[in-house]
Amino acid sequence: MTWRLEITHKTRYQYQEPVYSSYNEVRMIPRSGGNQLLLSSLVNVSPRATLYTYRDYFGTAVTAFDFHRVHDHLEITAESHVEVRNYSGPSSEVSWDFIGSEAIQDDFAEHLMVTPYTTVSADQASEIRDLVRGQSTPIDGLNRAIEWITEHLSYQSGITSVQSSAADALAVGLGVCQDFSHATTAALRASGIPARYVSGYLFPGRDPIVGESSIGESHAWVEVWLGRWIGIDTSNAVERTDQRYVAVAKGRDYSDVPPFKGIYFGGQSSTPFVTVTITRRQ
Amino acid sequence: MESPLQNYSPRIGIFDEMKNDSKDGIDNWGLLTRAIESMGIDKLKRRTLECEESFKARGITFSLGGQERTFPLDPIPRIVTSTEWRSVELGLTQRVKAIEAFLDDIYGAKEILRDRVIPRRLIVGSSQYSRKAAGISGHNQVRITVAGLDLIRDETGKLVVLEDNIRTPSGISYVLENRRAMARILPELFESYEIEPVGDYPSKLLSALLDQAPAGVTDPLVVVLTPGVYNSAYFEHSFLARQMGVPLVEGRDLFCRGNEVFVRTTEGDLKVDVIYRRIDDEYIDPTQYRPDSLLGVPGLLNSARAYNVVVANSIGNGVGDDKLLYTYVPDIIDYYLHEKPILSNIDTYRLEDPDAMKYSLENLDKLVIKPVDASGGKGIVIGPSASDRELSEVAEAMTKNPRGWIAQRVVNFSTIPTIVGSGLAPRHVDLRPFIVSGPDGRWVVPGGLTRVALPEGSMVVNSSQGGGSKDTWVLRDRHNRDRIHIESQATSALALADIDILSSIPNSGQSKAQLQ
Repeated sequence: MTWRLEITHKTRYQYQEPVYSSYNEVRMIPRSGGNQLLLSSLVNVSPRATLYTYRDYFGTAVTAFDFHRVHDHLEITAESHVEVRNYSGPSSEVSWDFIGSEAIQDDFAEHLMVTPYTTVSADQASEIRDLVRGQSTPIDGLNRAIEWITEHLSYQSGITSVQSSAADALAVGLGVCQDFSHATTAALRASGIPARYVSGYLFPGRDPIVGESSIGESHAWVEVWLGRWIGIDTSNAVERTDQRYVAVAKGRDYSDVPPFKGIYFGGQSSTPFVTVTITRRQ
Repeated sequence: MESPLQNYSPRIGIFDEMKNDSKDGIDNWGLLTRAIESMGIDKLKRRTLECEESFKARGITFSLGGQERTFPLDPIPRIVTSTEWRSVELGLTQRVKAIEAFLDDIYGAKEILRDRVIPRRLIVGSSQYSRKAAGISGHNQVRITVAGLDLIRDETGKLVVLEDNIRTPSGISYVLENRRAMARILPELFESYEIEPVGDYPSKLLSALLDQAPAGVTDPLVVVLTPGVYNSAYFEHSFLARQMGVPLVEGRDLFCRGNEVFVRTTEGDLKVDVIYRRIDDEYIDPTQYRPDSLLGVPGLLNSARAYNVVVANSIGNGVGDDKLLYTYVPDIIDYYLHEKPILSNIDTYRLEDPDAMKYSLENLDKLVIKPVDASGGKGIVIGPSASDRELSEVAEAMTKNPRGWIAQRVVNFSTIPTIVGSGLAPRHVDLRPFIVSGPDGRWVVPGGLTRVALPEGSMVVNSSQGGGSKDTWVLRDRHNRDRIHIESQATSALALADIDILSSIPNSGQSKAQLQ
C-alpha cells in the first residue's frame, strides 16, 4: 500500500516582550529512503529571513535562520509532500549469535550506546536484558521488550518534560511518545539490540479519504536493527510502523532530532502554538 | 672556585642529556658548561632574576588558582643537535599529517572504521567526537593549524610521543619570550653557538591562517578569539594577536548575521574571515553546544559550515587527541600514509581488554593512569607516588568506565642540569614542539617548549603544577658535519635529513620512497 501525504506543520511563538535577535534551527523536512520518498518540501518563516539548509551528521535536513530586528513573534510553516509505503518484505530471521557478534556490535556501536536520555537503572537494565535475551530469537526478544515497556509505562501527558530520561519516566510509570521511545531504546540497547530514536509525523486514522485533511501530530518512535531497520511504536502499541508514519529525523535520542531549537535575546516566549495537518493526496 | 658541575650526578637508570652528550663525537654541551663554570651560578641567577622581573612587569604570566604567576625560566638551556632534530621534525609532521587525514575521514566517509582498523565504538563513544561539526571544514584540508605534541626522552635517550595536543595547545609564547630572555642572560653563547631561530612563529602562523581564508576573499581579516582575561593562557592570546598584528577579540565582540561573522569596531562592523580560536568546542557556539555559554558566538558553527568563515583549529579535533586513540596512531600513520611511524609511542594499556585491565589493576602502583579526554595533566594518577586512597579511587573509576582511562608504563624521562639553590642538579624535562600547518605545508618551530619539573625527582612538568621552563636550542647544521654522519646510518629514517623540511613537506609518496 502506498500513500501520498501532504503535511503542513505550523509552529508559532508569540513573545510577551520584543525579541532583539535570535538564532534558530528546524528539523521539519521528511527524509527520503527506506519506505518513504520526499517529493517536495518548503519551509517559510515569519518575520522574513534568509534560510540556510544543510544535512546533519544523521542525514536529517536542517533549516537554519537568524533575526536581527526587533520582532514579537516567530512563525514557521513547513510543508512537504511525501510518498510512504508499507514494508512488505520477509520478516527478520537473524539469530542471537549474529546480533551479538563482535562485527555487528561494533558496526552499530552508535546505536548501542547509553546516552543521558536512554539511561535506565542498573537493576532495570539487567532485568530487561535477562527477559529479552531469554527469548529464543531476537524477534521474540523484541516482542518481549515491547511487552515489558507496555507493562511499565502508560501514556499520560503533563507528567514528564522534554528533559526527562527513560529512567525518569519509568520511575513514575507515565510518559509521552518521547519517553516511550527513550525507554524502548534503552531496553533494546541494554539487551544488545541496536535501536535508534525517530521523530516525524503520524497520520491519525487508518483509512484516510483522499483529499480530506486531518489533524495529525508530531510523533516519536523507534527503529530496531534486526538484519534491517524495523519501526516500532510502543506509545501506540504498534508492533510495526506502516505508511501512517513519516520519518523526519533519526538519531541516538531526542537531542539529535529536535524539531525546533534556538536561542533568542530579549523578551520571553510563551508555549508555542503547533498544528500539524495531514492530507492524503493519492 | 669550585665548578658548579663538580657534584652533578644524575640518577642511575635515567638518561641525562648533558652527561650523555657526545654520542656523535661532538661536544655540544661543552661551550655551555664552560660558560657556566666561568660565570658562576650566582651571576647566572642574578641575570635570570632581572629577566623574571621584566617578565612580570610586562605581564608574561599564567594564572593559577586566580593568581598571576610567571612561568619560572631556568637559564640552563636544552641543547638538541640538528641531526636529531631533523628526524624529530619528520616524525612530528608525519604524525600531524596522519591525524589530520584521520579527522577528515571520521567526520566524513569513515573509511578507517569500515575497514575495521579502529573499533567504531572508540570513535562514536568519544566525548570529543563532535557530530555537530561533521560537514564543516575540509575545504582546504587543514584541521590542525597548530599542534603541540608532548615528547619525552626515555631511558635509552630516544624521544617518544607522550601526548598529541591538537585542540588549542598553548605554550608558544613562552618559547618566544624565553629566547628573548636568554639572549640577555647568556649573550656570549649566542655568538659561539649557532642556534636555529624561533622568532618566525607569529609570521608563520599568520600566513597559515591567511592562507585558509574562504575562497574568493582577497584581503582576509584574521582575529584571535580568547575566552577572556580570566583564562590561564590569556597572556598568550594577547601576545599572539599583538605579534601577528590582528585583533584580539572575545565572543561578545563578534556576532553572526546570515551565516557571516562580524567584529564590532569603532569603524563599524567588519567581516571576519578566519578565527584563530582559543576557546574550547563546548563553549564556542551556544546555539549548538552549551546554551549557557557567554564566551562563544551564537551561529558560529553554521557560518563555518557555510564556509563564510574558517575556524582554526577545527571544531571536533579533540577526538584525535583522545588518549585511547593515541594507542592507534601508529595504525593511523600506516593506514593513511603507508609509512612506518618515525616517532614511537609509550607502551599503553587499553583497559577495554580484560587482560590489560587485570594487569593494570594488579600493577597500579607501577603505572601512570590517565583519563582519556582531559588535557593539561588533569586527573592523572602517577602510581609510584600516589596515596593508597588515590589508587583505590582510580581503580574504581577504571573498572566502572574502562573506555575512560588508559594505563601507561612509567617512563623515567630524561634530566638536564637545572639551577637548584646555589648549584646545579638534574631535573626531569619534557618537550612540547609546535607544528604549524597551512594549505601549503607544515612548519615545525625548531625546538619548542622544554618544561622542567622543579622539585627533586618530580616528573610533573605542567605549569599549573609547579613546573618551570627552559629555552630549547636546536643547533644549526654547520659544515654539514652531521649530514656526513647520518649517511653512515643506512637503515635510519634520518636519511631524510636532506629534505628541506622548513620550507615544504615531502608528500607521502616521496617520504615512502625514502623510507624503504
